[in-house]
Amino acid sequence: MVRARNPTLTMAKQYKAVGEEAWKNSVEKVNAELFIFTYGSLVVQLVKDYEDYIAVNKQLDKMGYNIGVRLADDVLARTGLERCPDLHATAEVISKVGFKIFLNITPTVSSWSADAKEFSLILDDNPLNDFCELPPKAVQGGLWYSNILCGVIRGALEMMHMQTEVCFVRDVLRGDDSSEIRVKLVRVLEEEVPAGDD
Amino acid sequence: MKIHCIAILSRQGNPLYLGNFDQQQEDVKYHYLAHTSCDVIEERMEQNKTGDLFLGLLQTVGDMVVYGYVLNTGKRIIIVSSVTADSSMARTAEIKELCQAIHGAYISLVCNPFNDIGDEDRLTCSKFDSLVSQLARTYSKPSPA
Repeated sequence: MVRARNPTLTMAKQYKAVGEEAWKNSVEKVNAELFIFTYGSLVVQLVKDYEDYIAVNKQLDKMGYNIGVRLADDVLARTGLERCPDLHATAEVISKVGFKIFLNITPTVSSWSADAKEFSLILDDNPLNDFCELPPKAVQGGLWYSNILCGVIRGALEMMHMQTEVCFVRDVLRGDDSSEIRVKLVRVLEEEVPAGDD
Repeated sequence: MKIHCIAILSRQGNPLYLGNFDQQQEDVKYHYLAHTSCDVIEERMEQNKTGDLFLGLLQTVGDMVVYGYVLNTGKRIIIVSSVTADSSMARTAEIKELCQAIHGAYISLVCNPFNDIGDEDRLTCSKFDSLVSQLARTYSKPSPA
């Protein structure tokens, strides 16, 4: 399906304005170092407890999922946004409103698949990564440090009746040049109570 | 001005980090210099009423000058550089800047959640290493006339 360029850009600008306005006015701020250190100790503790980096990734995703299911309602209440017409709009809302309100960053939406069911979020600047340096074991073991973000996106989208698979594909902490999260729409859920966490 | 060595010692004087930027001397010599500066540091810290972290010139050994800087947690940074014809005021100011930059790099190191460093453990972190080497190179450039 070919989309006209202009409506997408206008929509992106609108969402950007909504996000910035919400960040300025309706969000209470917390000290960044407190947040970064809390997240850092969380990941380190998980690493010590599980000793398996893939298991840690899974736990971070689960925790993120629980956060995400609560965030969706929060964002909509703050911004009063209406239902998104399609996945393009959803992607813009996640990047320009969601990430903006909670982390004050706006990842770039890119790399759409041909069937418009998959896209990437490129994070140029991830505040969770400040001060962090992964030990070589963690890099080899496959740890995605900010994997909680994937869970958050997955949880929030499930509240919007979309079942998705979200995962990191690149991360600056592992030596790549930027961090990239891939979001894949699996199916649109019927109006039903979402399945509980496994 | 050339920076020969940057050393970090613990509160008890144990060596935590030694960056040797002088190809001609062995590490041992700088370990020794840093250790002998400990006494001078203790003296200065007793006299230091203003709470300034920079302790200034500690001692001069041959053609090398030793400066000290103490971190808030009691750890000491020792800088060994060579005497040149610069005015000592300008040199001291630059060394103070260098110490503050090293302090900043040390804070980044400590803030890494994966770093499990106790008070007496050696600092082994490649990022810190490269930061300190870069600082030594920057401050080793010949000063403008």
